Amino acid sequence: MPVLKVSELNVAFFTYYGVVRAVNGVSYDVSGNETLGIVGESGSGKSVSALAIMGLVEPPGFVVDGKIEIEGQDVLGFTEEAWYQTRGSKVGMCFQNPMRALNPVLRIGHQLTRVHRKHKHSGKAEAWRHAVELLKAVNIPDAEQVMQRFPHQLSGGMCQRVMIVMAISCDPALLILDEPTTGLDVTIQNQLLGLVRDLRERGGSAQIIITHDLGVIAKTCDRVVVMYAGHVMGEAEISSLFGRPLHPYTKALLESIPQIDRKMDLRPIPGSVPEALDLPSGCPFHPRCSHTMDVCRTELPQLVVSDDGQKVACHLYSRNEERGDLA
Amino acid sequence: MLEVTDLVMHFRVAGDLPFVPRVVHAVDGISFDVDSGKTVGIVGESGSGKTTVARCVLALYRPTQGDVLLEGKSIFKSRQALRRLRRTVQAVFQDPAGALNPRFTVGRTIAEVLRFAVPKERRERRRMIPQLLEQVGLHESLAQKLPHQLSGGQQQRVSVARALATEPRILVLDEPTSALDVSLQAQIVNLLTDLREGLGLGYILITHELSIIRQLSEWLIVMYLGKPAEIGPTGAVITSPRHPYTRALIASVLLPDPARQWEPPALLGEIPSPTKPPSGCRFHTRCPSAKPLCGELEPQAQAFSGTQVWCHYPVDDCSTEANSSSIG
Amino acid sequence: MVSASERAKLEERSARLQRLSRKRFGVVRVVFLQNPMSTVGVVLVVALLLVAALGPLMAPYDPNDTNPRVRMSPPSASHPFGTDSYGRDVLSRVLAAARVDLTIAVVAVSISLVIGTTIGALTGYFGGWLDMVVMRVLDALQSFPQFILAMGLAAAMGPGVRNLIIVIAIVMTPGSARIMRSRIISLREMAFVDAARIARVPTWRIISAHLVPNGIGPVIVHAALALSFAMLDAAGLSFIGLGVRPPQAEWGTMISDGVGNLLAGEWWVSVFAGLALFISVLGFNLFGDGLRDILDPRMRR
Repeated sequence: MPVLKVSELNVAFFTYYGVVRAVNGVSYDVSGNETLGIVGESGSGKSVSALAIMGLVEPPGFVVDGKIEIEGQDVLGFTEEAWYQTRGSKVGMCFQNPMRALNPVLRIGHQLTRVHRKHKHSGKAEAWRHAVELLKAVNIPDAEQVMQRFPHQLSGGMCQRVMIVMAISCDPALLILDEPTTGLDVTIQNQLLGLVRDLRERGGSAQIIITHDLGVIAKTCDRVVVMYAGHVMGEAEISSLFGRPLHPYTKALLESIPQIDRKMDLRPIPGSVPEALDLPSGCPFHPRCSHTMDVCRTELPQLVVSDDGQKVACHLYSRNEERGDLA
Repeated sequence: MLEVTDLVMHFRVAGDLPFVPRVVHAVDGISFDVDSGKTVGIVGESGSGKTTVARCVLALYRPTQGDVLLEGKSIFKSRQALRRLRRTVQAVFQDPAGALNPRFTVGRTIAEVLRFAVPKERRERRRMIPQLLEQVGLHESLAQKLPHQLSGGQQQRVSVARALATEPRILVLDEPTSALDVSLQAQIVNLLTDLREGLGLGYILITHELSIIRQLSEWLIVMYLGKPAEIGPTGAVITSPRHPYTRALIASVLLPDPARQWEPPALLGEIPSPTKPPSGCRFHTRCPSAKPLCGELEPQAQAFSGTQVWCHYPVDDCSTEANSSSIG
Repeated sequence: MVSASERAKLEERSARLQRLSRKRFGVVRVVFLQNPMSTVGVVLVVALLLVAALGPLMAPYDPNDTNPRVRMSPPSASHPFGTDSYGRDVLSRVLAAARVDLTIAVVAVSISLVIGTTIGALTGYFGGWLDMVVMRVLDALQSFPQFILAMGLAAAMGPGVRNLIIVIAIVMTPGSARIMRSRIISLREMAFVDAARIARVPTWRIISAHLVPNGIGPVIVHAALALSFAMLDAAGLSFIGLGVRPPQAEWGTMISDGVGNLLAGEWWVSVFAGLALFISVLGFNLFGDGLRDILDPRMRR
């Protein structure tokens, strides 16, 4: 049974300027000992779907449709009390901008022990020891000293590691990392990803890594979900996604990323990401797609399964499937 | 045309104790030069000093030591020299939205530059604005818009148009693509390439992304904690890096290629603070091949067929280490 | 999770607000719709302005016209607000006082706004010893409770409308100065300022065209709220005799005139003036809140 199962999730924000449909009909699942990557640019809805999983969508945002099941339990009907029990103990999340996600007026030690004490009802000393152990496990030097410091005294990389400790301190079944490497120096990013991988190998938890960086995905994930403008464009095993990308968006993305090992003619994707208030009709990518057909403008493509197990939402493939073969 | 010689920039900053200032050794001795049509890439992580170098070149800071020469004359010497600098060297900044005054329309932003830096008459300005917008691939109707009405990519293009208003010969590009979506980065890179060819510009490209450097610049400067680590032709430095830091940096680049084997992190430890740079070679605290000498003596430049390396034990072509982590 | 009917309601509301916000000054209208109290504030302020402008024309009697035969008469048909101890019509005096109080508050706050903004902008941009010295002076001014300071200055300068305006302006200046200064300090690091510098834009222009317009939002909000405090200060100082000179009609002096009579059950002089003051101050307060909501970028609801 998958640790997390998201089905047809729809999240919308009802604002002055109109309805922002942040997440539209998104489905994915993650099992234990597996790392799922959710990749997308700004406005793709990837972070919002994670917030929904944690029950953190606040008005004017609402979950308008769909189901989210954590270890078989439907969490969308949860009361605040139920969420309180779930967050931290069943699901842990690391937010973007680690420096800002930590409480600036509380010491690290305080923030780290709080979670453990609340969920495991441990004493102060026990929680402290546990926190220090975890800090050491994530390669933070001088763990005892760090416990006494404030977030602004730590570097970005260390803050990120502290957040990870906070998220895993009660051994949750699912760990969500939202843009864990953004803003960090390249050599530190590397260290962090190594850590994330180690964690999975040791703990066996399910992981979701949300990022816009395909390099991060390639290095850490088993499966990937590609999102664009609040819709899932495709889902695939890592090797399939990079080796044989099906969706025009994925293909175009891979072709537009500059490589370090050679100079190349970059082929950028024309146009820009649509405003969330004003999504195009039919397939959200159609204004920028080089394979647009008439049906793309009017009908939203459904996810179909390709012969190598990939899922892709594109009329190029669904049409052919009707005819019995796949492009 | 533009020469940076032995640039040193130290800042006095408030320390932890009152009345006890700290010195930030942002840049400690770097030299390079830029010419029309030539692109110099400066790569480094936080604390490397690369942004400070850019600001010194733009005369936003006055260097503690060293100099920046434009056509042989120091830009800090006279008002005239500064004026020449402002017309010859312009900049595009990192944050596309932050680089534009949120209350100025696009047209007004560009007009201001034309009015003060060049300067041009009102009629001239009105004529030039649509031209400049067109040059960066924007429609002239955008001149009436405010920054928040534009997308990130468009905002960045406006910054480029503004930079081109003075008809500069050299552009300083400070992380021009870092704040943009992936699908837009390639657009800007292509724009910059086209402009360089069309206008014969020289670029000083400052970024932490080696892949962008590879696309745009022929000359690469790798900086660490205010000092140069390795300087040379981009292709050579990336394919056969000799400084351990350069090697680690290249190995850390995450390629969108899952077929590559999992490699443990190339570099451990945190970047030291520029207020307390390590003794000797500044990289020695994290260097995998550090030896006792590295902590005591600062390395001088060593030349290897066109590349300069600041290391006591630079990697040579013949060693086995070189073959295992090089790329391409 | 929302039900289907809830969703429909939300969508409809959102669509309505969206249509409204697209019209002219739509955002303003939406904010005031969401915030009925600020609408009340606007109404009150507009009413006050009208009264101040037309007051003397609307007054049934000359405010300084004494009529000893009808001294201290309660509210009646001929004198809706009654008369005071000199036989002057209270209604006419209240209307005339509106103009005085409003003028004092607006002029004083405007002066403090201009001077405070200038001081804040210059110290914020240049920093250094100028900043230190000026901030210490402002610290000194702000270390006194505002009204006590006003009392001290008023006592030193003597009574009269002009002095009152000066005193209140001085007392309100540090507030706007500090706000502008902190805005400037955060704005001067922005990239567009650097861009202006490398475009050879002169410093005075960077400050006036780039920094001040972008930083002025919170200062304006502060000023709107300061209007209410200024009015209270003016009335307060007049109440204790340090403000407006008699026989000038002013709410503070009127309240103080009528205080002695309260115990005798003759409430109308103080109460009507007091009510007028209360309504005006409330109006400015609510108006200031509404203004703050408009300028607040986080208006997502």
